[in-house]
Amino acid sequence: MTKKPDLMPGTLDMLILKTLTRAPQHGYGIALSIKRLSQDVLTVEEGSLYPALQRLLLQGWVKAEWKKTETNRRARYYTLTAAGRKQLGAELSQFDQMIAAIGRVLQDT
Amino acid sequence: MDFIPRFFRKLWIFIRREKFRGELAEEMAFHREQTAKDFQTHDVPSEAAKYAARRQFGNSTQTLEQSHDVVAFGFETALQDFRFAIRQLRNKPGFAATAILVLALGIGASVAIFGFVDAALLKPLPYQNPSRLVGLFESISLGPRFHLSYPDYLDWKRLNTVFSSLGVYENDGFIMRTAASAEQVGIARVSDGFSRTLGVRPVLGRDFRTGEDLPAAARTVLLSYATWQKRFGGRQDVLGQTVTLDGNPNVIIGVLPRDFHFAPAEPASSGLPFTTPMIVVAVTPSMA
Repeated sequence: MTKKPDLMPGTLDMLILKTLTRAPQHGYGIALSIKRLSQDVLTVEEGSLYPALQRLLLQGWVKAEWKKTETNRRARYYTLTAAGRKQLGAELSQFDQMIAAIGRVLQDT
Repeated sequence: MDFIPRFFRKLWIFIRREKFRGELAEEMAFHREQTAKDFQTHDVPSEAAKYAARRQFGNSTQTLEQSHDVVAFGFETALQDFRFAIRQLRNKPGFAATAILVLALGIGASVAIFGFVDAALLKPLPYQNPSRLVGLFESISLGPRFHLSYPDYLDWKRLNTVFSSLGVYENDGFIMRTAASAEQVGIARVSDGFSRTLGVRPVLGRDFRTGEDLPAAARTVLLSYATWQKRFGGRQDVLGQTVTLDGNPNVIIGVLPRDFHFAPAEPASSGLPFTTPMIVVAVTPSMA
């Protein structure tokens, strides 16, 4: 089994928030979305996902509520809050700046 | 940043921490089941799928702990660590006993050494104006530190223009006669102005009067606080009683303060019944 690239540090919160902009999701759903959208390149493990979710809850960027899934199971769904949306915007622009800066360094010949 | 809502969210989680952990565990169990199903649809047998799912997650207790640490107050983590430490020590009593013993010995030794250094070097002597107190010795051709003779003491005192006060002492042992037996007791014989030189006042009774150290004067004695407590039961009417030392009656005139110590004249052997000396006035001219 080849080792998958690690998630860039500091980007997990942003990915979670971004995933939640489409619809409320449970933890498994978030992990699955990230995996699918990244075409299996990024894997979010439980060990980093759940601590991150607690952090986001604590900051008030997401809120959680228990709901039934389509298969009638109890699951905790996370919803983006207004503050979370604002935070996502801030992180995205920071991330763009960062990527652009890295790009400029790498393209220097 | 918004500290206050954050704090209240933390507090809310802290109050419902059992529920919080239960919900988190449930959430993670759900996650794991879904992943196991995921593996199953990829044509892996169900047992193998479960293991594969578990492998992917690693240690779920650890994840739970880490998730909790994110929202926990600092002291909760500390408390958890403390409980864990206690459990570990209980599991290995031999190791725990060794560790505690080593710590105890180490701390004990440090305290003992510090106690000595503190008393000997750091703390000022328990007298009035300790910085102005000096010890005097006679220098002779044999060496620098010799005791002086009584006539020398009288001369020094008469010729003294340097010191505001001059006192002498001698560490001595006497046989004390009691109703039941005769015991050896440690005693310091001192000159009349000795306690005044140190700036120590008796807590009970009076100090030696000037001239009370002359051979012609009546024999008098000051009790150390410990002696007063142990032998005389701390009674107030001890003043005026007599103690018989080497066959001579001595009148008790006072009691020294509880924290009074005079290390140079305290008996070295604790086998003696009196571990702290009485103080008695010099009654013979042999005051050395």
